[in-house]
Order: sequence, then structure tokens, then C-alpha cells
Amino acid sequence: MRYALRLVIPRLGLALITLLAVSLAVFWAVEWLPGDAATRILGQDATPERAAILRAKMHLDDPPLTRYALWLGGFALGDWGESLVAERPVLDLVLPRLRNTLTLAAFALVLYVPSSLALGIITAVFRDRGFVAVLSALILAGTAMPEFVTGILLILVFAVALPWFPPLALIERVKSFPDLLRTLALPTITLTIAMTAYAVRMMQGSLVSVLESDYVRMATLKGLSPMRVILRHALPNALGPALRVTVLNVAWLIGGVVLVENVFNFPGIGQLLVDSIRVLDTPVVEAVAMITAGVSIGANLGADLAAGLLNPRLRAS
Amino acid sequence: MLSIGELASRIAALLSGQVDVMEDPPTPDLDKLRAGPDTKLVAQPKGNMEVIAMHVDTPPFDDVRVRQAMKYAMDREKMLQLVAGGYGMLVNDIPISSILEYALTDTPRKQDIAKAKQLLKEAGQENLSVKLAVSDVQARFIEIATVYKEQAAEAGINVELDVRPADSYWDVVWLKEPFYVSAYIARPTDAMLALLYLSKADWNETNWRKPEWDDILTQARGTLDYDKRKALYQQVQQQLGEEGGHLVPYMVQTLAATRTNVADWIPSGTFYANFLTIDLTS
Repeated sequence: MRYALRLVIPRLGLALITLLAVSLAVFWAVEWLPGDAATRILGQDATPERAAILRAKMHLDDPPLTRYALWLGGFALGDWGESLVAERPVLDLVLPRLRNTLTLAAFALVLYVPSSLALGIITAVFRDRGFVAVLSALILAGTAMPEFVTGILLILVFAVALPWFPPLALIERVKSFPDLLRTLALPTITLTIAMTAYAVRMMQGSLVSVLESDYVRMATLKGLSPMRVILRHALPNALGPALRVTVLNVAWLIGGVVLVENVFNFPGIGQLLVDSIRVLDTPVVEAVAMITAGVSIGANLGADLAAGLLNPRLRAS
Repeated sequence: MLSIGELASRIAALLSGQVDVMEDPPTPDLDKLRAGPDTKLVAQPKGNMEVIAMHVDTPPFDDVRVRQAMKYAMDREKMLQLVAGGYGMLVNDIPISSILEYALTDTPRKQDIAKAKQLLKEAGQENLSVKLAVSDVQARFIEIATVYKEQAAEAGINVELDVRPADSYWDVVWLKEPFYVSAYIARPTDAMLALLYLSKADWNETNWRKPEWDDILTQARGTLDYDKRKALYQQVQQQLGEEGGHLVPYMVQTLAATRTNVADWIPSGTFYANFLTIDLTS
């Protein structure tokens, strides 16, 4: 417990500073893009008069620093502001999307954790067998293929050629749990393939080196069952690198899967971010950036805690 | 109603029956979607025009001979085939098709490489090199630019494609660059002329500002006699076709792909969807 507190408290301070830096960088990046929300919304209809009217309505004539300060002040007090484009509270836009993203992320993690653990152990323990070479080649292929290509391939095979699953993951039209499973099947598999490959490689590498270490040989010589040696003695020490990869994967699931969302037309937070950047809707862009940055910071902190709990040597130092 | 960003997924959704109607199907997939078995194509003859705009007040396009050489370098028939799969009709360098009231009914200009080269020589621009701004902001934009680059090369004109991001295209490129791709939906003759070519028009995308031309258009609007009015309207179009800054090869039909169970519906041919008459039989 003391270890946990010692780790968490300074990190929380750092997290606040990071979030502030991210919000500033995001604000200026959006500001720096050509045009503004008014001209982006009007597109080809953007005559100077119409743009000026819209700009005044959105308070875009205020100096950037004033707008940033107003946004930050509100945000710090829990007011996420209003979308420039939709003219609705940012939270109303972000929360349903966040719920969708979290649902898909949970599905993907539920499939990802056991499959990468199992595959990691199998490829490490049976590393001298022929079938593992085939398995490793498949896993490498999974790493090499961009996730949107995997997604389109899955759609072509399992939605168009064999009509088993719907090609578009229209989660907002889902009415029952079996329906949800069917709708999310293809994106979940796509995400799992993208995440599993790298985690398995990491686990296999570290597990092999642990299995060849002296203390594992000692445990085997003591007559412990192979199952017990692997799960109780070898695995905890080999989980570190895979845990790091998992943290990156969690952060990716929340903030970086826009390409997969795009392929399946999934109404997640990544699409919201891209759409908002397209129309330069700063308050929404900021809100999504804060959430994804927060998840990334939280996941890293969680991984450090878990690594410490798994490895007594880290706790002592 | 869904907006599906990824083209491959959009087509998959239609093929698998998750959606019934898809507007603006991509040209390479037209044959497949027409052939079915579960899909068909429907067309609205009133359609879009992709245009290439040159600023008539900016070198090298301020020389009318250069503009005409650019026009003679274009093979409209081939352009319609390659860019729009042949679904459309040829028009003659103003975004007004011959089916409209008061429109010109001339045969569209044929590609004439020798003539283009001669005009460039007279203008002292034999090694003309120009930069064409384009983006994938709308269907067929990249395609028309790519095909024109190849056709212009036959006349010795080097067209360099300047591909810009889609999200800021209307803001940064449109009206501002001297040479770029734009598009229009069909409008009545007078509305289109006033929108694009009057000196004070907000959308004067070729910087065509000629008071004498404005006067003839104003005169046409005030002329009661139909035949005289039509002659005046045709006169201003004639001048634009010959000297103006637009390259307009074709008007494409507005296409949509639907499932075979969709009946009684064609796309509206405007920016606005219209589903007043649609029948879904299973």
C-alpha cells in the first residue's frame, strides 16, 4: 500500500501538468490550421459576409488567448463547454461516443488477454516444435498487416462472401445482446489481431529467457509440475514487457483506432475527433484529447503499479 | 441515413444488404454494381459538372491564347469515358448543359493538338508548365485532374498536380489559387451565369470581370422578346466558351446504386436528398 501511494501521488501531479501541456498544444495546433470553424462549416458557400456572421455567433473574433483561457477556466470547473458546430454541450456529444468506444475496447480486451496469454505460453513452451514456427509466421503476418486492411479483408470474407456478420458496426441500432455480439464481432477480431501479435512476440521472448534461467530449472528439479512451474514461477517474471505492450494497446484502443472505426463505420471517439478536427471544433477536439491523454496516463500508471506488485524486487527499491 | 467514410465498406454494406441505397458510387465499381445480382444503378440525367478554373487575370492564363490552347488540349469524349464511366453528356467550357433553356447547342470542342501547339507558340509559351491544385474533397476530382494532365502533355503542356488536403480545400484553394478543380450542380442558365461570371459575383472563380459582358447579361434579362433574349444569353455564353477561364468537359448524370428491391426512386440531382418516392419491396 505504501508503495502504491509513493508511486501514485507524484504521478498525479505530473499527470495534471501533462494534461495542461496537451490542452495548450492541441489548442494551438487547431488554431494554426488554415481557416476557422465558420469557413469550414460553410465550405463552398463561405462568402465573406456569411462567414463573418457565423464567426461572430461563435465568438471566433475574440483573441485566441482569451478563448483558450475561457475554455480552460470552464474545463477546470467541470464545464466542458459547447460544441461550435453542433451548438450542444460537448458532453452530450462525447459521452455516447465514449460509451461506444469503451464497449468495443472491453470486447477487444476480453478476447485479447486470454488469446495473447495462451499464444505466448504455447509459443514459448513448445518453441522447438514445427507447428510453433507456422504459428509464429502467422503472428508475424498479423503484425505486418495494417489493421484497416485486416478489417476490409474480414468484411469481404465474413460479411459479403459469407453473410455471417454485418459489414458496418452500427452499435446505435443494436437491440439485444446477441445482436451486439454479431455487430461487434468483426471490429473486435480486427482489433484483437492487431494487438495480440505484438504482445505474443514480447511474451514469448521474455518467457523463453525466464524458462531457461537457473531458478526455473531448480523448480523443475524440485519436482514441481510443469503447469505450476510455468504459471506460478515463470509467468509473473515474464509478464513485464507484455504488460507494457498491453498499456500501449489500451491507450490505442481508446484514442487511436480511428482507422478501424472508419472501416466499420463505428461511431467511436476516434471518428468524433477526426470529424471535429475537420470542422475545427476546438471544444470537442480538446475534450477528446483530454480523455485519450487521461487514459494513456492512467494506463501507464496502472502498469507501473502492476509491475511492482508482480515483481517484489521493484517494491523493495 | 449514414455517412460512411471508407469506400470499400460503403460498397460492402450495399452488397450485403445492410443499406439499400448508396449515392455517388465510385466510377471503377459502376459495372459491378450495375451487373448485380443484388444491386442496380439508377441515374438522374440532371447532374454535376467538374470544372477546371483558370484565373483570367493571372499569368500565364491572362493571355487568351493560352486559355484556348488549354481548351484545345482536352479530349472531352475520352474524359467522360475515363472519369465518369461514360454516364453523362459533353458540354462546352461553361457549366451549362445544352438541355437547359437559353443554353448554347454548339457541338463541344474537339481535341486539336496542332491548334493548341500553334496557339502556345503564338503566345510565346511553348514550354508551358502549370500547377493544378486538386484534392479528393469530391468524387472525380483527382480523376479529372489526372486525365487532364495526360491530355495536356500531348500538347506539350506540363501540368503538375498539387494535391491539397480535403478539409481546407474550399477555404484555402477555391477562388484563391490561379488554377484548380471545382464543381457545380446544374442550375438554370441565368442563375449560373450570374453566380459565376458577373463582375461582382461572390463565386467568380475565374476572375472574369468584364463590364461589357455584364451589360449584355443585364440587357438579356430586360429583353421581353423571347428570341432576342435567347440570342443575348447565347452571346454571353459564346464569349465565355471561347475566351473564358473554365474548362468544362462534361455533365455527369447523378448516379446512385441501390439494392434490387428499391423501386420508384432516382437521386434528386441536387445537394439535397429526396426520398419522397421510394418503395422498398422485400
